[in-house]
Amino acid sequence: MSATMAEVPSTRPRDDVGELPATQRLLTRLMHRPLGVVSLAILVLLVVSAVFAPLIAPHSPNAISVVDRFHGPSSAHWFGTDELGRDLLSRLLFGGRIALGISFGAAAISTILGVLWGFFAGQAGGLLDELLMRTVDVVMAIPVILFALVLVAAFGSDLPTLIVIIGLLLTPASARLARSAVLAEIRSDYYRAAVALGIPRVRILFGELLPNAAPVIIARTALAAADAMIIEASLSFIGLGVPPPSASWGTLVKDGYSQIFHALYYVVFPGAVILLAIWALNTLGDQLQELLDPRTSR
Amino acid sequence: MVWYVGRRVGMSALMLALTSVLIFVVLRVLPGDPVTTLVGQTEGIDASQVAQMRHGLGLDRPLFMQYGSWVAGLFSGHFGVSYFSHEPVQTMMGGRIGPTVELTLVALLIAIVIAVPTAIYSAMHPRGVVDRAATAFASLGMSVPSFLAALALIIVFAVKLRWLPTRGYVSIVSDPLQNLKLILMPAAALAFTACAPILRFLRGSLGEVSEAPYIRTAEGKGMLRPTAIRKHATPNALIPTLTIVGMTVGRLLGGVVIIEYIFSWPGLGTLIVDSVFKRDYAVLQTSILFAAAAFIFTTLVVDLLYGVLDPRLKAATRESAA
Amino acid sequence: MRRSRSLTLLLAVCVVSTVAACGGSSKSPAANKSSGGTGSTAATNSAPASPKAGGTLTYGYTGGGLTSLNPNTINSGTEKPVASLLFDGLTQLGPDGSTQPDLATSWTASADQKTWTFKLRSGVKYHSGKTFTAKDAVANINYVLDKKNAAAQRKRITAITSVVATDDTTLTINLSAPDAVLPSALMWVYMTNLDTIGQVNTNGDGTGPFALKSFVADDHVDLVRFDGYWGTKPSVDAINIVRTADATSALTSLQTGQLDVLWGVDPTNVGTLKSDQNLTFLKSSSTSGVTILMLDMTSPPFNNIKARQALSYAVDRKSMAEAGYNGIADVSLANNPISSNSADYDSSLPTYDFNLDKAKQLFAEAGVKQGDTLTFWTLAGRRGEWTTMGQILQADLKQIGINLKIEQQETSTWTAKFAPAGKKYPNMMVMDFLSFPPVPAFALQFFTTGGCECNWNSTEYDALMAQALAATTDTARKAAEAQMQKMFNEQVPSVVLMQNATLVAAQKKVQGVWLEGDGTPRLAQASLS
Repeated sequence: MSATMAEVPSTRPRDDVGELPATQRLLTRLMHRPLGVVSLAILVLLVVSAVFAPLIAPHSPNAISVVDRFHGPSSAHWFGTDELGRDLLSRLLFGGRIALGISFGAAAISTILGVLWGFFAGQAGGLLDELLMRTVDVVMAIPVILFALVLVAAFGSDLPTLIVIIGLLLTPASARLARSAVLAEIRSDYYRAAVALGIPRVRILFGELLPNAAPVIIARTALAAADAMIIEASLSFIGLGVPPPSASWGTLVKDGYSQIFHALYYVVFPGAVILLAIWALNTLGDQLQELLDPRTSR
Repeated sequence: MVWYVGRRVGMSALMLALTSVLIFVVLRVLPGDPVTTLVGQTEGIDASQVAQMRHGLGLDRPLFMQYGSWVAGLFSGHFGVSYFSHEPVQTMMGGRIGPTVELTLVALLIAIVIAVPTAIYSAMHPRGVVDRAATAFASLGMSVPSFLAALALIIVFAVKLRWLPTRGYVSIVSDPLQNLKLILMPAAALAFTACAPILRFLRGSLGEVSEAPYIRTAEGKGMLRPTAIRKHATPNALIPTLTIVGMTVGRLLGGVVIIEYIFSWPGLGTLIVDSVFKRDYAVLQTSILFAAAAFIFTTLVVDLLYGVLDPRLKAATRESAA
Repeated sequence: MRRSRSLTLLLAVCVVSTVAACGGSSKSPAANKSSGGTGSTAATNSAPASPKAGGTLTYGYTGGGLTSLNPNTINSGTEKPVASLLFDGLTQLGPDGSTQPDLATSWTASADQKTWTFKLRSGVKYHSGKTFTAKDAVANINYVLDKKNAAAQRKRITAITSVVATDDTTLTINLSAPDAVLPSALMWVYMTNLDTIGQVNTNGDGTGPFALKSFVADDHVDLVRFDGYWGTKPSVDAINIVRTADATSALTSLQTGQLDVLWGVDPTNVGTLKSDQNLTFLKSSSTSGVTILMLDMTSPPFNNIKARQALSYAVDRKSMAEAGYNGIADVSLANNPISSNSADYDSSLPTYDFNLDKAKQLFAEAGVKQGDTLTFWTLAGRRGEWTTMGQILQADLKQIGINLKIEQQETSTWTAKFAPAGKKYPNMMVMDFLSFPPVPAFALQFFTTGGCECNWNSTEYDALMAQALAATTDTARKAAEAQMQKMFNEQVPSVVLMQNATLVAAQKKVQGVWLEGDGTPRLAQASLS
């Protein structure tokens, strides 16, 4: 296998029965780190504003008013209007539903499929493992954007399709991680003991291993969500994002870019929001990873 | 050792073969084909004419036969002929590889030139001003999609300040100054996203290595800590960084597609995007395969270098081979 | 502390972006409301100072690339400007929209308009040195007529039964049916060197004012002046035709002076360009490009005339022209493919003023129920204004209970759905831009059987077309064309939104460039002062 940077998680077998599950301990420790708090707070803010968009948006995101085109930020429209006179702030709020929806959806798919794939390969070992991981390598060899471009061109760009395509493209990285987790545990005593006791592998994997590996997988999911958002924004920028009148943040950046000569606000606000969201997701993922790796926590 | 190298090379070859099948199959799934685009909306073309054109281009043969001809062609140096411009694919790609390689290398160079000294300096003076600024910068850099970086650069340097041009390419041999002006923004946009992971990883790696016992030994022998880090820690930290550089090339190859599109940089990325839109299979197959091959090759080289440079790995290999 | 550094940086980003945004916004200046083409004024830039000879003209275009230099197999607007630089036809389009001699000096027709004799210029040489004779004309016309070459012009000259080179400078064309506009139809049949047509991308061998220096598909074409040209020598030494896929980047390049002429300016940026002292907009003498919503007349619901008429009432043409083209378009309320500036335009036709109630009623009568969904099929990444206009229609149709789904596809997928003619696409409307020359007959001819992807197979319409082509007097032709326009207005084979042209902007120092009716620039006589 190639000696790439496989993130070998340092999981420990579950302690005595009275301890909190690994995930909850992780969250508590996260709250003590300032960057962790900030990134989580930003994410919560973005998610909440997306979920409650219909309630907090000042206008309907699709309310066309041709006479109000390209008005700069004003008291009526805090972030200005677009080429059809629609309120940009409202479009950003509703755009969050799409951007975050795709990002989280794709991350979830990649994690679920990746765990299944990686666990299966890891515990299978031998030729089957080689074969499965070779497939992973092959898919990762093709630059993600190109692959996404080709698949979206083939299968369309409506919301569910985008989630599935991006989710599939991010699965290999999760699969690798899940497999490392399995490999790290297979040599441990408790695993061998469980196998010797006749406990079915599936129960060991999903009953013992998964909860212990959960923190690492959660960290990876956060990073996958960041990657998914980048891919989706890039696709939208080329014009292969969700169909109108829906618009994700990436679509708004694309539309704004053609107006930079006279309406700079139109590209700056969506761009800043994308940056914020990706930063928060990346930072959250990093913080979680730092917590889990005793060597680098300072 | 030979066994290790042979195994790795064999694996890479297998991966390349499998990737070629994947690429071929995926492309055929796409609706429409080169004939549809060739015909476009020309008036008065009927279905029988379309069928005839398809037959002429060999597009109605069974898939595995088409795949077979392609692969056979690759081995004999015939990469196919574009369905549109009727140029041989190797000529088309040949002209495009240069600009892409140049852009990727310059971006990588900028990234390394910024990341490596900064990481070393930060490690030498941990928790100082530079260290903290670098950490923040790296964190930001990893969150910026390269196209956003490109847009920001264009808005500032082209639209507002009008210092730099936003499109075009001249070869470095014909006009080095203009080449520099044209490559600056696209390479900077790419470098911005590539720099961050290298910086972070090297800094983290240096941080780890700095705590190693042999550093303390060096200090005990009278060496100043920053010097010890520079002289002893750095070479050890650089080895795993090679891996990151390898992975960064993969990221760069992905990012280069959109950057080339934004700046009208006549490279492989623009060629691929145009060919996707036109369903020019002949060009697409070979160029995507080439991009994947570049990535596989880079990973192979990094792995081999890793195996060669890291004495621990060599020892482990010898042990397991024994 | 580490925390504060990261947070400070984050805060800085937020502040900077807000400041930049507020600083950069401005109400867009009132868009120029002039609609296209007044028809009377000459289209060329009037040159105050005498132009300097020499220099290199850089012409940029946006969107899809130029993949082939063969002028007779052109299927994209981006390839058109190069054709007239490298090649000549027997006749050519004049700046005022008339048909002018090119390689043919004069022509006559027999009384029944079925036999045409063209006298050709002598002493004309190709760039390669070969002499042009009537034999080449025969070969090229047959090339276009040959179905396997998929030449766009074939449809306009199908009546030709045989072409003969009577002598080196005389060409005889025999037709199966009378065609009074044959000389105009030949304007886009180019005289290539068929001996070497297979390598046209490397030799670009034609008789035109410029010769090929280098060509990289989808990227650039470099041309140099051909000093052996038979006609007026060009003023500039060279023309570089470059592609900028991204429209914003193209505009920046124009503003910084990297480009001299830009084809494909985003209409929403018209205000910015107008305020730039160094730039000017070019206009054609008569706008003849048409933006339409193409419908499939052989599938539901648009096989029902009421549904088509309903759609014509449902489109708010004025708002669409305003939002999509900044008002720089000629709204076609009478649903007519011919421009209102044309002499053959029938102004007595009833109009389809924007009326959602009428649309609702007609849709219902056609069987389109509340809650039904129709699809709006458009391009991704190009022609953003189509998506803008589609959203207006989407909002309007929603008001009368009909859902419009907007689907953006990249070019291959988009074309594959409705082309070539004969395909069925139910419940769908396709937005498209048709490039017609200012000759009204050709705009109308597009909609004859087998021509339009709207699948309008009307023998009555076809008969009127034949009548118009055969007409020897203006009155007769106008009468036939008026009938056709009436049929078109009634039947709505496609919803015609407006006449417009692709916008072209240039540096003020560029003189001598004029535009065809659809916006295609003619660069041969350009000069840089």
